[in-house]
Formats: sequence, structure tokens, C-alpha cells
Amino acid sequence: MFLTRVLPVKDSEGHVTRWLGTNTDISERKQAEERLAKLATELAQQAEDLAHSRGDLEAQTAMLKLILDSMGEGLIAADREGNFLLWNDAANQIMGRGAADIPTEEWTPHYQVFLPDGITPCPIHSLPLVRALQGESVQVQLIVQSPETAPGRFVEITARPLNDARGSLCGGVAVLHDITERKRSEAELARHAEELAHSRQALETQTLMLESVLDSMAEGLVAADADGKFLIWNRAAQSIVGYGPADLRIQEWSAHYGQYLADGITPLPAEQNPLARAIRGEACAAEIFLRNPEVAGGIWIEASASPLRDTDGVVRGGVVAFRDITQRRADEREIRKLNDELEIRVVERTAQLEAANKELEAFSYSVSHDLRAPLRAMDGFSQAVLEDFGPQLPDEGHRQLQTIRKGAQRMGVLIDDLLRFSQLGRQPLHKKTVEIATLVRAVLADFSTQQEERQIKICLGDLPSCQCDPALLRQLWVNLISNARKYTSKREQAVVEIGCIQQNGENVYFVRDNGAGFDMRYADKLFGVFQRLHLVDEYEGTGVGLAIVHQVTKRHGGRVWAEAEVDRGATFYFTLGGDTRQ
Amino acid sequence: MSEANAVEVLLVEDNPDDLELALRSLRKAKLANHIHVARDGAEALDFIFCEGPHSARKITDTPRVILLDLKLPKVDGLEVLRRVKGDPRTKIIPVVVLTSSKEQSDIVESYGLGVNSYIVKPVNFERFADAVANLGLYWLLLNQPPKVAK
Repeated sequence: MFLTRVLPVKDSEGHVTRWLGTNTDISERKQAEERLAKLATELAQQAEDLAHSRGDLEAQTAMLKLILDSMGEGLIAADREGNFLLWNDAANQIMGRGAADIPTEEWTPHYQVFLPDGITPCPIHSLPLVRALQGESVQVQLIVQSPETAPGRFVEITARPLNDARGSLCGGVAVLHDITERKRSEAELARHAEELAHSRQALETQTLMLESVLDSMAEGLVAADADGKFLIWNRAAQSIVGYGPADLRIQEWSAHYGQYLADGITPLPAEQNPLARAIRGEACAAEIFLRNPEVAGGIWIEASASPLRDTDGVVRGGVVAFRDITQRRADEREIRKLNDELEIRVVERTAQLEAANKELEAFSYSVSHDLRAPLRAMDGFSQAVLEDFGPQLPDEGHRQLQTIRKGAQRMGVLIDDLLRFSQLGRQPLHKKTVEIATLVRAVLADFSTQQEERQIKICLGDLPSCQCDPALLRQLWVNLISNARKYTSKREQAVVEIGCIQQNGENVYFVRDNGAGFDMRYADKLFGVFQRLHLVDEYEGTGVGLAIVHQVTKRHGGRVWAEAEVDRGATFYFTLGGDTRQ
Repeated sequence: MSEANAVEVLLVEDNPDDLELALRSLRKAKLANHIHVARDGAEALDFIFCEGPHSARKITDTPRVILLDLKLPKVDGLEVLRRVKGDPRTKIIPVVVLTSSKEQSDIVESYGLGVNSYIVKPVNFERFADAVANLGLYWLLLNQPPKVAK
């Protein structure tokens, strides 16, 4: 085949001047054309295929993006120059910011990346993606702390270099994993662990302390849970009971530990065991006798038990505290015995005393009755002799008979005084408030009726009232005042001063005279029965008056004393004991 | 029974000395007529209640006064007093206790039993004589006993 081609040749005006034709064999060309056409068809086909596959690729890319964006991990890829190729949603989230078109040097300040200490900004060369672009594979933890990520995010980053098909480095990829929550949990966990360790240590210390406290107690302490399983059994419990805790049923306790009722014979019924009762919710106390092979002779214990309740008040067990009271019981028995003996002795003594008192009464009755009869006879018959035979008797006989009479009469007075004195100690005190001033005036009035030739000047001071037996006090004043009168009998101007002074908060009554006085050397004899400091010839008296004064003050819980000087008078002071003041 | 023979004083006294002195005093005071003496409590009761040797007596012939010692053999004075004052037939007889005892219990008990007077015998003879004489005077001459149906 030929191909003829004619080409016009044109001049400068554009006129065809000639034609130029060629004749070409085109068989070969034809073949080539055919080949070309075929090629074009194939090309078209390929283009179509390509277009097709491009659509596929786009779909794939979209899919890939979807996948990347749906990932929890952040994914960032960059080319060798540090241009970000990939930055998925999670990366946005984690880094707080999107991919920025900035040089690698600005990554750290831009994204505010810090080392795990949270303070040191991460050096550029340490950034994982930078290192990946250097061909390193790394896994590091960093903190991203920008305003968008406040209060900071802990990120674990795994970065790897990317190599192309030929194996040469073409970029890097980083996978970001937000471990903030994990870190927080870890920290929390660590804190908990530390706290736990702390409280565990505290608990151990406490337990140790509790144990040593329990073991140092002299009281036995046993605690059991609601099933009767022993929780505490301290050292004292061990030594008192003789046994340690045994794995027993509650019903077996009494028999195992050898417990008896307070009579020491009857085995303690299981349900009466204090701890058993405590576990039943009952607080109780009991004395129990323990006798088992481990406690020689047996011992007495005093136990008090109470239930252990939880915060809701539910009984979770019981605790019993007990102590060895064997010695105390023995002591008590001894004391009881002594008391009983003492009581018997007191009863005996009281009986003896009562008998003695009775005897004394009988004695004084007899004295009062029988001793005076002979005196009456002496006095009476002397008088009878004087009356009947007076004229026949010489004067001396009269005088002697009068002496007999005087002796008998004086003995009568002695007997009366002695009886009065002995009665004083026996009769009971009847205390009441007594106006001493009134009492003294009454006594003085009685004396004034007695005829007296001489002058007695009485100076009456302030006399406060007091609690006392009025009859005894009257006797006391009578004795003191008559004493003063008696011993001033040789004074032309007798002065008797009666009053009261305060001494150490106590009322001290006194009677002062300007009479004969006495030598203080014999003051101790003043208040004894029948003790006299003067001759009967000088001053009559039996020596009982001051003994009675002494007895009266003593019975009131008070005392009496005197100050005197020979021929310069005497002062008698007395008190009436504690409760005399008003 | 004639008034002249009536016993006016029953003197109960065991001590012969006191008895003699009392009689002497009564005599001196001219009060010694119709005195009957009993030497112990039993004898006194026999006389008052007309028993034993005195069964012939009539209980209505009461003495005008009884002078009674307290400390007596057999039956003591307080018992005599109790019997006399406890019997409606004799309780109107004035009883004067004349005793050595100054014991408060004796005095209280005597008055409790209804004694008319309680005299403590003084040692001093003159006072003793005065007491006895005054007693006799008062109870025999001045005191007007209630009329008793005889």
C-alpha cells in the first residue's frame, strides 16, 4: 500500500505556485498505524483502568483517613524535612493543636512539650519524631502542657523512621498514646499503696502495743467471737487459768478449765460462764473457783464480762476480765474472823463493863445506904447521951462527944461528895444550848441568900452561851464560885471576877479571885479526888469540888487549868470542847 | 374499933439504931402513941394486909401513915410500896419513904409507884430528929385523910 500526499507550495502572497506530490509506499506504515491504533486502544483501556484505580485509590485514602481518625492513638507522620504528612484527630486531641507548618526547631515551644518531670522543656533532638527522622526507633513518655491540654497530658510516644521501597529514609511516624489517666491511676495507686503501707505499719505498731499492754496487765483478759473462738488470751489469763486458749465449744469451757461456782464444789453450769453470757449479750460479774491440774490448790477469780458489739450494736462476741482474788478472799475471811472475834470480845467486854457498872451501882447504893447508918448512930447516940446525961458529964466529956459528932458528920459529907463524884462519870450527858450568863446569875443568887458578914465584890463579864449539860454545868459553876468564896474568906474585900476570853477560837471561861491562891508547884494535885492544898482547919472541904469540875469539863471534851500565886489569888479556866461555840 | 387504939404510924425499919433514934424523935415530938414497928418488908405486908400473925386485924383499920425504909430484908421497901399503892383498899394510906438512899433511881421509882413523900435520912441527928418529927406532925396532925367507908 501507498500513500500519496500532495502539498501546495505557496509564494509570499500566499498563492500556490506549485504542487508538490509524493508517493509513498505505506504498507509498512499501515502496519505501524494499525499497531498504533491498537496501542491507543490499549492506552485508552489503561487510562480507563487508571481512572478506575484512581477512584479506588481515593476511596482507599478516604477510608484510610476514616480509620486513622477513628483511632484512639494519635498518629503523626512527617517527611524527611519535617513536613507533616499525617496528623489524625486523636493527635489533634492529644497535642491540643493541629499540624503546623513550622520547622522542627519550633515544635517544642509550639506544642509545649516537656520531659516527664513536667518542668524541663523537651530538647528538640530528644523529640521522638525528630529522632525517628534521624533513623531511630524510640519509645518515650513526655508531657504536653499547653493551654489546650491544661492541666497537662502524659503522653507515651512510639516513633519509627519510614523507609521507602529502596530502603532509604523518607520520613518518620509517631504513635501517641494518652496515658494521663493511667498515670493518674498509677499515682493514685502508689499513694494508696503508700497509705496502706502506712496504716499497715500503724496497725502493726498498735497491735504490738496492744499485745504488750494486754500482756503487761495483771488482770486476765479473754475475748471470743460470737462462735466462741478465742480472739484474745493475754499472758495473765494464761497464768491465772493455767491453760491457754483451746479450740472448744462454748459448752465445754467450764469443764475444760475446771470452773466451779462460788461454793467451790458445784461445777459452773456452762450457760453461767461469764464469757458465754457476754456472748449472749449480757454484761455480768461473778466469782468463780478454778481448779484444774495447772492451778495447784485452786484459785478464786473475780470476773466481769461484757458483750462486744459492732457499730450497729450487734453482738459480735464477748470479753471477760478477771483477777485472782484468792489472797483477798483469804484476807477477807481473816478480817471477818477477826471482826467476829472482836465483836465477841466487845460483847464480852460490854457485859463485863455492864456487870462492873452494876457492881459499882450496887456498891455506891450500899455506901449510900449502909455506910451512913452507923454514922447516924454515932451522931444520934452522942446527941442522946448529951441530952440524957448531959448534966452528969464533965465539960471534957461534952467536948469529946461533940468531936465524935463532928467526925461522923464530916464523914457523911465525904460520903455524899464521893457518891456525887462517882455518879458524874456514869450519868449520860444531855447537851443543849445553855445561856451561861443566866446560869451563873442563878448560882450567884443562891449564894447571896447565905448569910455573909464580909463584902464580896462580884465582877461579871460577858459569858457566851454554849452547848452543854445544864445540870453538870451548874454543878461546875457552883463548885468554882464556892471555891472562890471559900479561899477569899480571909480577905476583907473579896473580889471574884467571872468572864470568858477567846483563845484559839475557843471560849475559855474563867473565875478569878483575890484569895489565898496556891503554890503552882502543886498545881497538878488540884483536880485529883480528895487532893487538897490547904489544911481543913484553914479552909473546910473534902477535896472533891475541883475533881468534879475536872470530870465535867472532861466529859464535855474540854479541859480545866489554873493559874495562881500564894496569897495573890487564883484563876481557874475551863473549856467545853469543840462544839461549844454558837 | 376505937380511935384510941388505932395504929397511927407503921414504922418499917430494920436497923435497930435508926429505929431507936426514930422512936426517940417521935416520942420527943409526942407522936409516939400507937406506933407499930415492922422489922422487914414481909412483916409490914402481913400487918397491912392482915395476914399471918395479924390475921385478926381488919384491913379497914389502916394506919394513918407508913414510914418505910427502902433497904429491907425479905421484901424490900419498893415492893411493899408497890403492893400498898397497887391495892385499892390500901392505896389511900400515905406512905413516906425514909431512907439513906440518895440514888436517883430509887427516888424516881418511888414517886412512880405513888409515894407521898421521900425523905433522905441525914447523918446529923438533929436534922434527923427534925425530919421525923415534922413528918409525924404533918401526916398525923395536919393531913386530913379522905373518909373511907369502914
